Amino acid sequence: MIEDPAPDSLDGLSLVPICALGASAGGVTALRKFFSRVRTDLNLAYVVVVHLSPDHPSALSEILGSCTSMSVNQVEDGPSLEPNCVYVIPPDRELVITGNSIAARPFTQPRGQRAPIDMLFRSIAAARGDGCAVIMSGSGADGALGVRAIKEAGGIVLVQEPHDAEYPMMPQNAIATGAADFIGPIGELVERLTEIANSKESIRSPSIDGEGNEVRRILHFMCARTGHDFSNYKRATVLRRIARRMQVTRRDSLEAYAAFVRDTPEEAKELFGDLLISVTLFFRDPHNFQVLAKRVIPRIFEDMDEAAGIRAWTVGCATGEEAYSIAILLLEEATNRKLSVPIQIFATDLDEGALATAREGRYPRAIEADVSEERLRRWFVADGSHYRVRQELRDVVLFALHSALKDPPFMRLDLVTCRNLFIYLDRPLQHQLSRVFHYALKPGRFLFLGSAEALDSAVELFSPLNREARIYHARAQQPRILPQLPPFPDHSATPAIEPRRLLSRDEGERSATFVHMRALEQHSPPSVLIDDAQRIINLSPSAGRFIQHSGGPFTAELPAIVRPELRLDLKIAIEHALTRHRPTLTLPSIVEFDSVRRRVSMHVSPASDEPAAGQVLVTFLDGGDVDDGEAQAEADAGPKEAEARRLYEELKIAHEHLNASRREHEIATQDLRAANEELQSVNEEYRSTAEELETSKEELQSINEELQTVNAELKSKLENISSAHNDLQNLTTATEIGTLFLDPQLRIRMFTPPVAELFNICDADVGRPITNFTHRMRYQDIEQDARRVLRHMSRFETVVESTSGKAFMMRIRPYRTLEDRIDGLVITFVDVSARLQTERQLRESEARYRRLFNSIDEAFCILEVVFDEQQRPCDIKWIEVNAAFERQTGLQNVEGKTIRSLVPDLEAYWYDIFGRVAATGQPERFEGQAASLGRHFEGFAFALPEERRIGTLFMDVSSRKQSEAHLKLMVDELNHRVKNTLAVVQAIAQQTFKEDVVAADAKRAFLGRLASLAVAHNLLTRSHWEKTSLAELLRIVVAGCRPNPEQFAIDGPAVILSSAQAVSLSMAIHELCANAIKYGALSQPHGRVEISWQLSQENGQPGVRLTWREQGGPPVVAPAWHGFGLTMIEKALAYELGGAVDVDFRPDGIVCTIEAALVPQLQPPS
Amino acid sequence: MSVIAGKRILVVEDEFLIAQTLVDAIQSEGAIAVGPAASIERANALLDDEQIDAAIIDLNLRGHSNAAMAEKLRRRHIPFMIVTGYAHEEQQLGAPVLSKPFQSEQVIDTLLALLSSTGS
Repeated sequence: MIEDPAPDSLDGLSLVPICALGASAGGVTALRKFFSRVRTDLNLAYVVVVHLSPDHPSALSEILGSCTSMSVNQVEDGPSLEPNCVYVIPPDRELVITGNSIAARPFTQPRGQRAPIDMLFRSIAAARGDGCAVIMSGSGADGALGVRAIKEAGGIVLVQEPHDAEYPMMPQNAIATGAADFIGPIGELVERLTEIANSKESIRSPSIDGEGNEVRRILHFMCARTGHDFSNYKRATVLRRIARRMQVTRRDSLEAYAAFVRDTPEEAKELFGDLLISVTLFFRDPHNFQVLAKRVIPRIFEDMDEAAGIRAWTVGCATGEEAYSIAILLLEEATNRKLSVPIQIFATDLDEGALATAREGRYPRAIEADVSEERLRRWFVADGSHYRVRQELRDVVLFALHSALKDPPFMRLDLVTCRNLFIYLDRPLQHQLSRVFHYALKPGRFLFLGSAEALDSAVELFSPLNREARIYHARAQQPRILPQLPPFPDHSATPAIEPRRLLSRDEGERSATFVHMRALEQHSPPSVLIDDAQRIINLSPSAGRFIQHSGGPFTAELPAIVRPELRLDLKIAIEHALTRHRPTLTLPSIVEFDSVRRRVSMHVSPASDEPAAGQVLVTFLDGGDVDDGEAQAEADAGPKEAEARRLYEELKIAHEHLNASRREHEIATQDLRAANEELQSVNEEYRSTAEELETSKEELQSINEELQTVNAELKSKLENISSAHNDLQNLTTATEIGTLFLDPQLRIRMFTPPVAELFNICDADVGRPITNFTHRMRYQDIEQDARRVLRHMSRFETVVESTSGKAFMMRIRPYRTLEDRIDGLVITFVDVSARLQTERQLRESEARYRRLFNSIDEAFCILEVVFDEQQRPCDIKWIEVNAAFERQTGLQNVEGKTIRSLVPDLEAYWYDIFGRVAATGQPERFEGQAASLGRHFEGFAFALPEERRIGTLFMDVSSRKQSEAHLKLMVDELNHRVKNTLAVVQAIAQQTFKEDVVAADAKRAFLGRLASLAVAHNLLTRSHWEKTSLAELLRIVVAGCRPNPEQFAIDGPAVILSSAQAVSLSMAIHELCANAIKYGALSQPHGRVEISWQLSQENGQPGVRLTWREQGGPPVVAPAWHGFGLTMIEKALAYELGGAVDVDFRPDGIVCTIEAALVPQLQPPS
Repeated sequence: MSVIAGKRILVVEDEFLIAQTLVDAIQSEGAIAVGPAASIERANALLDDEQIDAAIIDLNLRGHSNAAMAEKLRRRHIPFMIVTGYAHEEQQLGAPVLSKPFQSEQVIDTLLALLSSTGS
């Protein structure tokens, strides 16, 4: 409905008129054109708003400054507006006008919802009440709400012709609001602006008093054209609108404009439209709406008649925002209560254009400022630069062209909202309207008014529920009376009849006047007071007997229910009294009361002197009984009796005729009444049918729109499908993947060419079951697999081989439609021969490597070196090790672990080596000891491509190291022994050759001694130079002397000798043997030598006693021999055996006894 | 007369023939051979019981190291020389080493050097 008018008080101040310009994309060109053409002396302040990037400084003021000689400023800190100056919006700010100053303030809306043009225009409309707004090129809908506000406030709206604009959307949206006064290219707009600026002063404010008649005339013309009377609208508002139209039509006086309206039917409509111009918002006055949502809506739901549902009426709905707001609240409450009740909102207005907008339910994005994000999501659908209400919301609101003042109201309502209509109406009209609302509302239900309105004129009908929020509820006790429509002229249908008590009772009883009055009351004739519609208002006590109600519906109309004999006269008399205000006394009529005939006259006169009151007093005068004789006597009286009788007869007949026709008339009236009632109900039906039709029409319209949308969608879908089909066609022919589409019965639906390699099918086979065809695969279970996939809706995958030796990866998966229904199968065959081959090779290569890795004897491991902050290696992690690793290190399960955790004491140089290799990438050989592992490693470390990783190949060389050490020991020992032996040989030589012996003998003796030494060494070598068996030693030494073995007897227990014992014993035995061969028993063929020994215990010390006994030799001459040999036997042996040696030169043969201690560990094992 | 004459020289050598050679060499210079001792026990006994002016010791007696004997001699300030079949290591003992096999003259020369240095 009509926007709250701009404060009139500002009209008097000398405000600089503003021309606000809004532009967006393509706007700079338009603005340059504008400012290069506009005159600089129009005394307008130009405010320019464009959509600037918040992050960049704007050069707009410089650009515009180059086009005009006016001063161009970017608004910084609230300057006062000066005429002939240009003010440009700064980046990331919105402009607001207050009084005569302009302020740039930060955006109140988040980016994306900002509408600085709307903001400026609305602030101008609120602050100024007039001004010019110009919308130029741009995309989006910013400015659309603003121009409505400007226009409503009395401003002029100029819009650039969309064809002229680079981006036509913003102008189009502004034009779509219906608020544009001029539409044209920039040049024309400039001309218009010039005219407006020039005319502004002259028609600034038409005087209310002086021009009242002209205004009445204008409204009268308009009423004649449009049927709507605005004469009871507030004069100031009407004047402002007329002034605006005068500017637009370039009439400079009210007379001229009145003539223009009279002569131009279109202008009357334009003015009508302007008077209806309204700015309405979603949830306007949010606080009031909150109160409504919290306190009123729940109560409506609480005591609701579920069958009837909830009915609301939005009066003056304009473009529908308020109706939808109410609908949202109701639907939300219903959702909260989980109720499903019919909700019907009637939204009415006089402005058909606005209603069309409302029916479309499409609003600019700027409504984001008024509607919460949640509600936008729930109740709106984004539609480009607009929001469209959802069908669900649209369905509950019924828009209709309807005048609340003229047309019958909607009935049985729960809520009436009528916001910002009252303020335009004068008091009687306000009262009238509130009675309409009271009549329309169910008792106790609610009326919601605008924030500036109050119901002071109708306190008897409404009581306030919340005065601040302007919410009232209808009083229940008042009779609900539909006021007369149309309401002009207003007069009360209910006469105020005060029982006339002229005097108080106490006083009256004592006075003669009272007695007189009472007598009058008792004895005055019966009377009836009726109103102008002839309905009974009051009956006197005895008037009832003149009333005889005939059959049919009850009526209070006196002429219809008075005794039939009186009806005709009464009607005439009442008519007389009502029209001429004259009393009438009827001639007496004969009336039959209970078979008593009486003569009755009636006196009918206006009840008061005031003719307008329209009340009539009917007094019945009883003329007494009539008897037949008297009547007869009357008839017989006089000479003209016959004539009189004849006349009387005629009269009687006429009377009877009259009675008959009256009865007929009554019947006809009854019939008419019934017909009328029928018509009324038909009318009601028709009304509801019309309402339904309207709804259906709206539905049809929306269905039509939907169908168009669907059609467009289908068209684009068809295009998509066709292109998808093309794509599919190309994909099918181009793909090398065999793909087979089957329906649930395994019939071929489609296939790609590679499938033909595997199945013997061609294009003509589409539709036939695939199971009918042979295939070239070494796999027979495809059908079972396919059926299984169909059954379980799971995928299946296997590798199949074709008869030609190729391998295919066959995947069977369910064919899912977009609706997620399984409708067949898709089987794909991907040639994986090459892949399988590669995989096999890879596997083999991997296995080879693995085998190598694990079969080499060297340990191989991949290590990752961990460096600390100083880039020093601080730990090492095993990444991978081979089988030999465990063998070589003794460590198990090391992969993933670190050396620090497993071998915490590992020597630092290992970290150095590995760290160096990892850091430098230079391979290194290494060798070193790992004492904590008790091993010695030797190997090779090299860097790997991965950072900080190295590979090492190494072996445990501990045993080799040990052998080497042992070898060195052995060499040393050998050296020692050789040298020792050489020293012995040297000593032997020294001893042998120092004697005075023949050189030949000495030589033989020396060689023999060396030989015995060698024998001992031989034995010792055989036993690793450690020990030797006594018996064997003896046998070999003796054999070295080449005696006759028969002559020897060697016997004794097993004894093991040490190396030193063995050497000296062998040499001693050699000397004994040599002596025996030369001089003793062995020099004779029958001589014998007996060598025997026993184990002995001497002083607890194990020992051996050996006896050399010669027999059968030549007689012994003691000492038969001496020198080295004997020394060897006696001294050396004793010296080295640590025992005693005794040589007994018995005559029958030498007996040599040798006692030696046995080194305990050399004892033979038992 | 040589400084060796009359001096009592301890001989510790397990190999009888070598020991005999050493004894012969000492005696030929007019010195008195104490021993020879073939075992450590015997050598220690002699060292404790006899008056010894110098000593010739083999470091390895029947597989037993004779290093303790060398230490004992050094503590008693008895000059000594070492005869050994081993190649190295004996130098550390701070005494002249005679590597086997050796000439009797070498033994005498070494003894002379030992006794001269201590005698003077």
